[in-house]
Amino acid sequence: MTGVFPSQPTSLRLMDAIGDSESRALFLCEDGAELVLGQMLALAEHAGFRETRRRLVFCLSDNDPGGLLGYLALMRAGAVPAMLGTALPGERIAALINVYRPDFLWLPEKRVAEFADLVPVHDAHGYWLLAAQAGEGHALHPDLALLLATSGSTGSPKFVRLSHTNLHANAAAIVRYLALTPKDRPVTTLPPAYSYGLSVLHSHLLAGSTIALTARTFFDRGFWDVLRSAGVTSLAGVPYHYEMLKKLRFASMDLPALNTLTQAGGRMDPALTREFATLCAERGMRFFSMYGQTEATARMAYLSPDKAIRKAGSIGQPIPGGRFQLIDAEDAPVEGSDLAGELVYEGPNVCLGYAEGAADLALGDVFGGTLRTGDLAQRDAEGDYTIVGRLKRFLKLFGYRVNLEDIERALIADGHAVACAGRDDLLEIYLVEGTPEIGKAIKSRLVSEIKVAPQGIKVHAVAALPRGDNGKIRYGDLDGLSRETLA
Amino acid sequence: MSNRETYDSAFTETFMIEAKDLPGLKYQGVAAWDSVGHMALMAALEEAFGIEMDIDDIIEFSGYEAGQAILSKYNVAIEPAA
Repeated sequence: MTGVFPSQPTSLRLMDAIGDSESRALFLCEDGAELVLGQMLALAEHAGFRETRRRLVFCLSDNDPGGLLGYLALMRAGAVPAMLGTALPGERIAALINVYRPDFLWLPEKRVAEFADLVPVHDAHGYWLLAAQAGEGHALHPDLALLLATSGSTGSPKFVRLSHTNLHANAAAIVRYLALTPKDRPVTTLPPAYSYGLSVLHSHLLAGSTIALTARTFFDRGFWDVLRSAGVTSLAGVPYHYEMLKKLRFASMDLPALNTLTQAGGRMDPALTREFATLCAERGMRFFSMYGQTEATARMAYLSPDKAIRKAGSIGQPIPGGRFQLIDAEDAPVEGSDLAGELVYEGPNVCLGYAEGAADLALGDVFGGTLRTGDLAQRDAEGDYTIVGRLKRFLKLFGYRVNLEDIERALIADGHAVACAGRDDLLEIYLVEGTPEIGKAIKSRLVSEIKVAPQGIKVHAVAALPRGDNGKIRYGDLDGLSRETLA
Repeated sequence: MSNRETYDSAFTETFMIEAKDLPGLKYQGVAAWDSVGHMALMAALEEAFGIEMDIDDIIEFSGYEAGQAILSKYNVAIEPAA
């Protein structure tokens, strides 16, 4: 089966581009040990891994040796990994297995017992490769390299289909605009199943850098010990990471090797951006505000660090090889400065399309290099873009996308009269005739189902939902309603 | 409200858990006490007790019991459990 558009010619693969030097250090572990390319190649050449070539593999990787060497070895072996969070509950994984029927799973040893019907093939670094008994092999499109979930934590069966060209083009563009070199030393602050986390991994591997490997969080003293002992030069964070850094009085920390901060994963309060950009300027460090979506592999735009203070809140300009256009409701180009339109991106990193089931894995390039972002933006006289709104009904909670329609539908199915709105890092549920008990029950359910911190959700009681003449909810009016916060 | 009640409710409200689950609770011991939850817990305690905690104390605040010892440095005495 072929897609709507002709497939792209076979081109450079990330895993080939990082070379064959067996002694090259890929990762620096907390204990000072290095994981070298040769270890990854040895894993990729194991008989079990060779069997994964052009097969679908569910890859549950954490930021640990088994997680990252395993992921890279699968890529090297020519498997098509579908990245899943390691905290995804067993029943969600089982549901995804039903939809996609993967031939293999790569997962931490502690989760192996949940998949008793699968056959253990090989173990390494605390992880296991398991094979499905009736591994039937799918028709996988030749360009398909990797599947990333559109919504990180919910176990939604919708994946973004990425090609080798996508992965290489985006990593190469990031290497260029961040001017990455083998001397750069990032640290694993984001999960590998998250497109931003993976982009940090891919771009630094391409640049020849060694990555400091830790699963610790900012609130763990060991993290800061790793930062110092490994001589980490850059930190990648979503907005809540910057709130944490502020809480930890990052300004008072002595981290002499650190020279770059990058931020993506949703809108950050411009005041917070300005605070960090100013701090970076004072210390001779670079601050990058960036913009992306999983559909664009990861990155689409970045703001040049010399504008970081003056233009805090802007996403800047397209990455090398990319192009932006603004279009109006009739799809006509919006040409002037400071006029809003839907942001459309074109570039070699735009995904092939979506997959909602196994049959879609045979599809080729449906997007044709053009991505309608669903974000409303405007362009200023200097050519820098600023996001001013969103057309699609989703928001990002702590970096992860949450679809408001899905949540609304689930709550309505439970018999609630609700509307969902909010902004990045705050999901707001407007509930008609709500009681504190119902409000709390809804919040608890959402916390456990979408795996988000309770701080990211508010449930309000309102008298009625604002509706237009056509009966549709006027979401823009929800914020102005008189309300009582229940939970 | 006693300091104990104030302390407990910072946990139960931030993490949406029951008071009976508090003894022995550790950072990352429940899904809600992740790094986002930790930041919210620190903010809730600072507001409830009118204090501002040092970075070392925020990092050392590794559990329900450890936190009580840390708060004593800020002259917040958590009464023994009833």
